[in-house]
Amino acid sequence: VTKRHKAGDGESRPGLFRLPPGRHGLPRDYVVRNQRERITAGIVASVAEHGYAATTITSIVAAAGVGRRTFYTYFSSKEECYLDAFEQLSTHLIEDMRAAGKAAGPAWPARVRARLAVLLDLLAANPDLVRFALIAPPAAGEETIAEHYRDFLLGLIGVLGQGAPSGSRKPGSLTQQALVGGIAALLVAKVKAGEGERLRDLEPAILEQVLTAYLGRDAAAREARESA
Amino acid sequence: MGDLRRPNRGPASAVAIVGPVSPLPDAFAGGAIGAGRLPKEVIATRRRRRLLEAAVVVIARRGYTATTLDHILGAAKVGVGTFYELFESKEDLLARAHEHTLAAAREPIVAAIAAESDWGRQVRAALAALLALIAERPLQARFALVEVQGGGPEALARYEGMLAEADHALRRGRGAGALAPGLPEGLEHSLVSGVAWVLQQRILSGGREADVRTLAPQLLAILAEPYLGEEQVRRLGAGD
Repeated sequence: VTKRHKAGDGESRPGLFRLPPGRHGLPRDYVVRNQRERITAGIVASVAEHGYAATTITSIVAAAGVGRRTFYTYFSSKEECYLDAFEQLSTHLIEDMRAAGKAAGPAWPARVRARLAVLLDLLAANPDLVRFALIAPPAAGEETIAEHYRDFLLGLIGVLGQGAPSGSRKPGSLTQQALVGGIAALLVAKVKAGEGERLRDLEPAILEQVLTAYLGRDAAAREARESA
Repeated sequence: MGDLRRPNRGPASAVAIVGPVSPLPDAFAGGAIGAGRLPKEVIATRRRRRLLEAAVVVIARRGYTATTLDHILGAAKVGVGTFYELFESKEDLLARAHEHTLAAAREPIVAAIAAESDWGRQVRAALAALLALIAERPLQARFALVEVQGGGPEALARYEGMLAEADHALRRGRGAGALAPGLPEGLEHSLVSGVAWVLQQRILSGGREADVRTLAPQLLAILAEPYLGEEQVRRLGAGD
């Protein structure tokens, strides 16, 4: 996990890491970055706990440990703040999945597995991220958020299955949509069951489903066993 | 109710003076026609239904969060006092509206399944019935499948219960296909939720795309192929 994932790894969780008030002699850009990260961590924690609709600027700044005025120097609304955090998270997840795939060598099933493993590990490190990015958006009832959510899921499936061997059947866009919608539902169910730290348990089942969409069922089951 | 349709006995003017007095048509009796003549329970039932239907339509158009009780009362043309005689609260109305919509949708789907004995054909029939409902009743579909997710914990639980019922029905495919042994755990939840998500995206796109019923063959393949394999699903899709 790189330091970009601070919002997820606990050390910048609200309340755990707080600048002393007053003159602390820290460089200005450090303070700025720290404040922004705290607000990001704050909205993740608040949306995870209360849902999007019930999250307020007050609950965000309380979770972030910053003042209201600080919030408004960065964002003009809850929605803007949410979308900023959502974009950061989805970009980081997708970049890390891509990098893990590259590092896994040339075999496509191994790449899929490595990308999936990174996704599951990053989310398991802070299950609030699943509440923030997969549970909250469909319940938010906001069109812009629904659009970002859809793009995020399509981005996930795009990178997950990238580079399938030329012999494989190309799953249509509808099949890909159903696949990623189904994967999201499995993650959500696990987190709702209180097993968010064990998302990695889902790896074999999800891997088999992804490979099935590209290779057909028998070849997929074989590959899933071999790459496990 | 029958006397509402009383035959018109013609103008009562001249005759009334001479012959036996015939009653004036209802229109001249003073007061509003209709409402006052219906038994109380009938009026209450009608208002109740109007409110349930208005709730569905208004929420489908505005979304859960943006809908107020006033919007619904305005659409149903029911006063606030009357409303509270029929429902406890806005939340109560929304919960009953959701139940009402799901029960109405469940009926044709269950009937379609009951008309087939083979699992693959049951999936095909259920899917066709569901897609027909979405195509023919777009507002109800948007309310029951999309907006309801923002309707709070009770609505969400009912929505998830509906998906769980579909998971359960699909799971019977594990006994139907040669490929079934060794299917991954959670497959049904993933397939059903995946198809639900596809349909939600279609509904959200607001009918800018082709008729949702044209998706039937692809969705059937998504749902049934893991159990039956490609070849059997192709035959099933071709109407076999």
